Formats: sequence, structure tokens, C-alpha cells
Amino acid sequence: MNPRIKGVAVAAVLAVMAVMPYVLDPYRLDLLSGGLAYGLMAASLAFLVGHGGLPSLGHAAFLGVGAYAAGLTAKHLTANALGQLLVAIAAGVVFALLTGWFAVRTKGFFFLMFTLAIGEIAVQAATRSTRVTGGDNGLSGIPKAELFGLDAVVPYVAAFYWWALAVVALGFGALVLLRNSPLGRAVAGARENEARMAALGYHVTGVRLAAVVIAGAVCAAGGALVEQKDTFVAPTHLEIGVSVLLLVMVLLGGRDSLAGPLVAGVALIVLRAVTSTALGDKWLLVEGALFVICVYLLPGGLQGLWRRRAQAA
Amino acid sequence: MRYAVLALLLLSASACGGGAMQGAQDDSTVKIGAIISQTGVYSALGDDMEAAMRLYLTEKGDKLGGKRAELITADDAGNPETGQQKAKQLTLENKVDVITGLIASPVAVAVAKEAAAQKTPVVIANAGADALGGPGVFRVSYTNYMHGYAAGKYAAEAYGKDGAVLMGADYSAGTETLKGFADGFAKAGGAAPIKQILTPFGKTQNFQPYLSQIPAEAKFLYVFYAGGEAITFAKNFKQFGYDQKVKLLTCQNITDEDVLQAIGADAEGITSVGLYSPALDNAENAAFVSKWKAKTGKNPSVVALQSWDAMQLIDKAVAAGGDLSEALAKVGDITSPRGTFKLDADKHNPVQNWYARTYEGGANKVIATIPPDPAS
Amino acid sequence: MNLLVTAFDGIAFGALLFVLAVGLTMIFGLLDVLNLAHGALYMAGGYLALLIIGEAPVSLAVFIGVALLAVVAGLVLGGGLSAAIRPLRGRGHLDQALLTMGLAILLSEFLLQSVDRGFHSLAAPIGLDGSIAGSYPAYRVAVIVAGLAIAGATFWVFEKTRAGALVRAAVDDPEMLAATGVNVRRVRLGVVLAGCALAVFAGVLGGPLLNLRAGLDTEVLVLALIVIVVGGLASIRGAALGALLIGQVQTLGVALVPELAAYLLFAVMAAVLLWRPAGLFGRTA
Repeated sequence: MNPRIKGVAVAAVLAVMAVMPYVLDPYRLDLLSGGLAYGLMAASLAFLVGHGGLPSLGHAAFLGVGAYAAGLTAKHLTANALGQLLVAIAAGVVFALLTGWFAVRTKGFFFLMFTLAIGEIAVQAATRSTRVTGGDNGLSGIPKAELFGLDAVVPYVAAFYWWALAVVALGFGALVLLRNSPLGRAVAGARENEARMAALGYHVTGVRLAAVVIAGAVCAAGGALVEQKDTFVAPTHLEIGVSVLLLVMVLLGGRDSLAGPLVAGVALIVLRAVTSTALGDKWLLVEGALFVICVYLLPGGLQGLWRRRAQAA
Repeated sequence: MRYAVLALLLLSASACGGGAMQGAQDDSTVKIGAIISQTGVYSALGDDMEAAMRLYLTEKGDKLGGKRAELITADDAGNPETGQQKAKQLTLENKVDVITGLIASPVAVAVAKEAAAQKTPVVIANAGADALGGPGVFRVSYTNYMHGYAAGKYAAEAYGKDGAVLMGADYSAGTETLKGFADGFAKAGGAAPIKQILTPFGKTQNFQPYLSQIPAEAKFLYVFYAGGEAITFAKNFKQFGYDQKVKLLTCQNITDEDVLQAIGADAEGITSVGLYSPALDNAENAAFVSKWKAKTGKNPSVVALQSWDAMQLIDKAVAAGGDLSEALAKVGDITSPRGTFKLDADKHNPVQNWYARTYEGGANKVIATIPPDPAS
Repeated sequence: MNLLVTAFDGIAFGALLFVLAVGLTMIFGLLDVLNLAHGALYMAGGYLALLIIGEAPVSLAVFIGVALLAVVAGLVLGGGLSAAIRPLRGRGHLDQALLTMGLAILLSEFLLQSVDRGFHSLAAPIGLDGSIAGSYPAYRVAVIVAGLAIAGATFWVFEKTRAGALVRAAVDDPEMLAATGVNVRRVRLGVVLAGCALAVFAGVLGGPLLNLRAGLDTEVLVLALIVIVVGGLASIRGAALGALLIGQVQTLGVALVPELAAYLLFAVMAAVLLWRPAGLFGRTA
């Protein structure tokens, strides 16, 4: 796609998103904020899975790490939203280094299972550290994040929406920049041909670890947003179901893209809310059918569809 | 990009649909938002909860406190994040007057927080977390602490004052109930339990390795398990012969209707302490049980009973008029199938009788009543 | 003495895990398909039995009859699965994961909608519903016997029959096998059918042990994945030894180190993945 058209398209999307508080009611705005956060996390997973070739079933652990870090910061350190976000990202980096160092020594299906193990262990740790995390009843009593005085001018839900939009836009931008950077290209190289990269002198495990850290840090940022939106975190935020949901968002969006999973993430969160309200306990059937249909009809996910239309045009 | 727009259109479309149907705030209708687990691990109880609420409404001609009543259910999928989102939807979009339901404690905690922010009262129909309760939150079920406490008091009389071993699932419901038991036991003169065995919550398919940790000096065992774990525990306890080795006292969930059929013959003879039994002898209960049996063919579970009482509480409060939160706090005695009970003034938790029951021949026969401690 | 009972019980649990996991490992090893619907197939077995015999104990003959019926259902479902996967050949694990996950959700939700969302359990058949010496459930001994029989049968088929030789050849070198005139597609189909039938059968076998409820499919799938990772992919011996080991971790392991009980299973899997990724008894690629 012509870069200028792409730039205009991005600007247009941002403009549309920015005026949402004037269009949507508080409940839907809040839902969209959540959708954006999950979209960012899906994009971060796409960076790891698609770009890095490292399929992870434990990505929700970073959501949890970011969310708990932000929540604990809000309770004990600072009410400033940015401060909480930065602590969350730092926590994500540390967690990525600690677990990723081991994880990148496995590949493919084994990496998938290893990350599953990390995710499950993280859930247990969150559930059992009752004094720190509040245990299975979650972390409560978290004060609302302060949004730079913006919440004095507009309703909190709108101020928060703009904050979330900014974080997601910046986080997504960071992923794109990193993907196109030399490091990003090294990550892709390690995915494509490990032996050749090693022969060229790249430290393949190190490059992979960098991919994990980037994906983890951005996901932790998304987790912080989730916590700030709800002022609540529980071990259920790290459950395998959430990791699976993120992976599904990546696959539905197109794993070779970052924008596709972002859109798929927003869409899936919205879809879940809509089908649950409309169909009660049948919403799961809709989701299952959606997965099956998408596998057959959208082999490259949303991104594949865009690409085909662009080529046809 | 097209699909981003599609997602947003979907969002706005559902906004328009909701908005068009909203109309002006209708004062002659009372709207109740029930957050129930329709999918997920607690969905077994969700069906009972919804059925009991709808049964009550049908009995009252779809009216509560004289006003037309509308019950809107929402699925929390057993997940507090989803529950909180539904609470937002029910309060902001559907503009419900009160939120009820709430099976799992983490969901209840998240929902209570959201409801408080939206200034909507909450009537908890199941969740037992000790931390819940306070202004705007009303509970017609129980607290985990009191659940264990009553059993502890009873055990000191019935099983002796020493040799107690506690066992339960390692999550807040388990630990809070066991703590309550230890306190109640001590209050009635019992010694500290000689061992406490905690099992990983939701991940235990087999209790034999844990049962084998019961010390030889144990006189009796008090356990807390609910749902699937209750079934597995009851079967394991009997099949591995522990019923011959140590006396068993359980929480109410192990001989509750929702698990009894699955446990089958292994439930015979189990003594438990609970807030209700379908075999309770009072007029209110006779009517309730016969209505429930007519509808479902089974005895009512404790979740069904609690949900029924939740509707009763809301009914009385709406009838009293005025601000619903204040009215809920002022409802005095409630004539429930479990007996008469009321909510305490402070945290609005039930002050109620507990019953020791033994499951024999298909019924939970009441063998003792444990009254609440006198108000201090 | 107590520990001996626990260890023995671990063998019973391991036996069930073997019947469940052997199909998964063969399908993965031969077709290179990650069948995330395996847990849902197990669940289908249990719920099918529930629909037919309910929760009351029945005679052993009836129980076995139901189990055989489940096998037939498994063959049918396996055929469906095979047909569903065929268009995805060559598209990689993640696409297969998405498809089989979608199918798993559809199957398990269909089961729950057909029966109900309540808790259920199968009763052990009459004659096996008592306890040996009052302290060990007779049914679990039957599970061990069943597991041994199936292990023996699969091993015999795999090692000693032509069909087994074809399967082994198809794993090792499908092109060569096709060159000899064998219809490799049919071999693959056979493995899928057998694997699915075993999973559904395991669901009946495990009905009296693991409760039937929402979420059973995920719980069982994770267990099966752990078994094949630990034991080694595409190997019946790996599935057997992996299942035995995991069975012991969940019983003896938990009894010996109760404080770490919640972490034990995944810690073991993580350790195996780091030190012996091919599995403890798997074929190193």
C-alpha cells in the first residue's frame, strides 16, 4: 500500500477513534477502551508469534504482571496513571527476562507448552500470594488513576478512553518501529533461518529473548490499562482462557501483521459483549463457529483479506 | 481498516438499539439485574439461581412490592472482569434499580465495587466472601466465616473438644470457612485443630493423597468442598474406606442438591452443617419445596433457596418505598423457607439459624439447630 | 502403607491418562496435527454414557456395551475431524489449533446444551462399585486392567501387525511408503479414527473418576498435552511411560510435597521441556 495513503488512513482512523467519546454512551466507551487494551496485547502477541515465530500460550501472564504491578503501584506508590504504566512495563520486562531466558531455549510446539506452563504457574502464584495480590478474590481497594487533570474537565470514562487510546497508539507504534528496525529484522531472520543467522554471527537466543521482552513489555502496558479501567485485578486475568483468547485474536487478525490482530482484538471483545447480551449462554457457540469459519474462509486472517483485496485492486 | 469500521458500527448499532428501547425512566417498573454464571465452571448453579428468581416472580404475578418487575439476566462466565463489565452494562445501559445474583466471590467483589461506583444496591444471592458487605451491599446467603463457625460450635458438642482435622480447597472460600470453624470450635471450648490440609483449588482430581495425610490421632474431620470437588471428595472418602477411620462433618455444599445425584450412594450418612434443608418443617418451606419440585422434579438446592430469598428481600424493600438502598437496610425479619432471619445492621449479612443435617434415604434430615450467637 | 496405596492409585490414574493420551500423540506424531478437540472427545464419551445410562449403577455388561457404543461414536467423530482437517494440510500447527479449538467449543457446548450444565458423574458398574478390603475402590483396579489391555493391544498392533508397520512407515517416510503403492491417506485416516475412538472410550472409562461438567474438556486436554510432552511425541511407549509418570506426580508427588502440589505438574513439564524436549522416552528427531 502506498505509504502516503497508509499515513492518511492511519490519521483518519485515529481521528475517528478520538471522537468516540462524543458518539458512544459511557458503557460502550468503556467497552471500547477495554477492546483497545486487548487489541494492543494481541498485537504484542502477534509480534512474538508471527514476527518472532514463537507461538505462546502463556501471554496472559504478562497481562497479569502489568495489571498487578499497576494496581499495587496505585495502592501504595502513586496515583499518577503514567507512573503506574511505567512500573507495569518495567515489571513486564523483568518477568520477560526471567521466564524468557528459559523459554527461548525451546522451539515451536515445545515453546508453546513451556509458555503454557509459565502461564499456569503464574496463575497459581497470583492465587496463593494472598497478602500481596489479594488471592483469588483479587486485588481490591485500588484507587482510580489520576489522568493529568483531564478528568476534572471531562467525565472520567472519556478521559480514560483518550488515555487508553494514546497508550495503545504509542504502544502499537513502538511495535511497528521495532519490527522494522534492525533488531526486528534480526528477529524475523531468526524465525526464518536460525542456522544462517547463527552463521552470520547473531546470537539467536538473545535475539529471541529480545522479542519476548518487547512483546512482554507491550502486553504489560495493556495489562496496566485493563487494571486502570476496572480498578480491579484477579488471578482470572492470567488464566489459560485469556492466553487462548489473545492467540485467537492473532490468528483471526493475521499472524503476519500487527494491525490485523489489533483490529481483531477490539472486534472480538465487542463481539463477545454483544453476543452474550443477545444470546445468553449461547455466545460460546457463536465463537466456536466463528473460529471454524475463519480458518476456512480467512486463511490469512483479516490481514490476508486486506492483502488479497489490495492485490486484486 | 474496513473491519475496524465494522467493529465500531457493530458497537454503535447496538448502542442505537439499546437507546431506542430505553425511553424515559419508568417509575412504575422495578428493574432487577441478575448477574449469573450461565457459562463457565459455576454454570451448574446459575440455572438454579435463575429458575428460583423466575419462579418467585411468577408466583407474584411478575410484581415486586406492587410494581411491575423486570428481571434482566447477564452471564458473568465465572469471570470477575466479565462480571464487572455486565454490572456496568446493567447499571449504565439497562438502568437497573438493583443488582443481584452473584455466585462466585471474585465476581461478587468486582461487581459490588462497580455497583457502589454506580450507586446501585447489590443483593448477594450466593457469594460467601467475608470481605463483602457494608453500605449498599446486602447478602441473603451466608459468609464463609459463619458457615464454618456454626459447624465448629456444633462439632464441639457432637464430636468432642479435640482431635479435629480440617481439610478444604486452597482458595478464599476454603480458608475462610476453615478459619470460621476453628474459631467456632474454640468458642465452644474446643482445642486448636491438630492439622489443616489444603488442596489445590480446582486442580484436584483425586483426594486419596491428601486423605492419607490425616494423622492417626484424628477424631473427626471437617471439610469444605463445593461443586465438582465436593463430588470427588465424597466418593473418594467412602471408596477409600476413610468413613471407617474417622468421623466426618462437612460443609453444606457436599450434600447439596446440585451434587447429590452425582455422588450417589456414597452420600448416605454424611452429616453436614448448613443454613437450609429441604426437610425443614415449616409452612414456608413446605410451600417452597412443593413449588420447586413441581417445576424441576428435584428438591431445592441452597442456591435456589437463597435466590428465592433475594427476591423476597427486594420485594419487601420495594414495597416499603423510598430509596431502595435505605429500604433494603430497613427490612426486618424475613420469613424464609429456612426459618426466619434478618440482616445485621452493620454489614447486612444474614443472622440466621444453622442446621446440622444427616443425609439418609434421600433427604437431609435435620438433627440439630445451631442458633446464632446472641448479639454482643 | 498409605504411600503404597497412593502409588497404586497413581497407576490407576496413569492408566486412564494413557488411554486418553495415546490417541493424541499418534495423531500429532503421524499427521503432525495438534488436535485440541481431544478433550472434547473425552467429554463426549462421558456425556454420551450419561445420556444412555444416567447416574445410577448398571451391570458390567451394559457398561461395556455403552463403552463400545462410545467407540463407534468416536469413529464417527474421528471421520468428521479427519474431513475437517484435510483442507488444512500444510497450513501449520496454529491454524489446526484454531480449527480444532473451534470444533472443541462447538462439541462441548453442544453436549452441555443437550444435557444440562449441572455436575454429573457416572456410577461404577455393579460388581465394581465396592472397595477391596474396604479401602481401595474396585473400579480403579478395573481401570488399570483396561489400561493394560489397551496398552498391550496398541503395542501389539503397532509392533507386530502389518497395519502397525504401515503406520510406523508413514511416520518415518511417507513418500517412500506411497511409492510402494500404499494409500498413505488411508493410513492417516485409520490413525485419526483410532485416536478419536480411544479418546471417547477414555471418557466412558473415566466417567466414574472425573466429574462431568463444563470445563472438563479443557482440563483433560491440558493433562493429555502434558503427558505427551513429558513422555515424548509419536510414541506409544512414550505415552505409556509419560502417563504413568504424570499419574504418580498427581498422586505420590502431591502426597510427598503437599506445599508444592499446585505447581508440581507444570514444573515437571517445564523441566522436561528444558532438559529433554523430545520427551523422556521420545524419539529424538
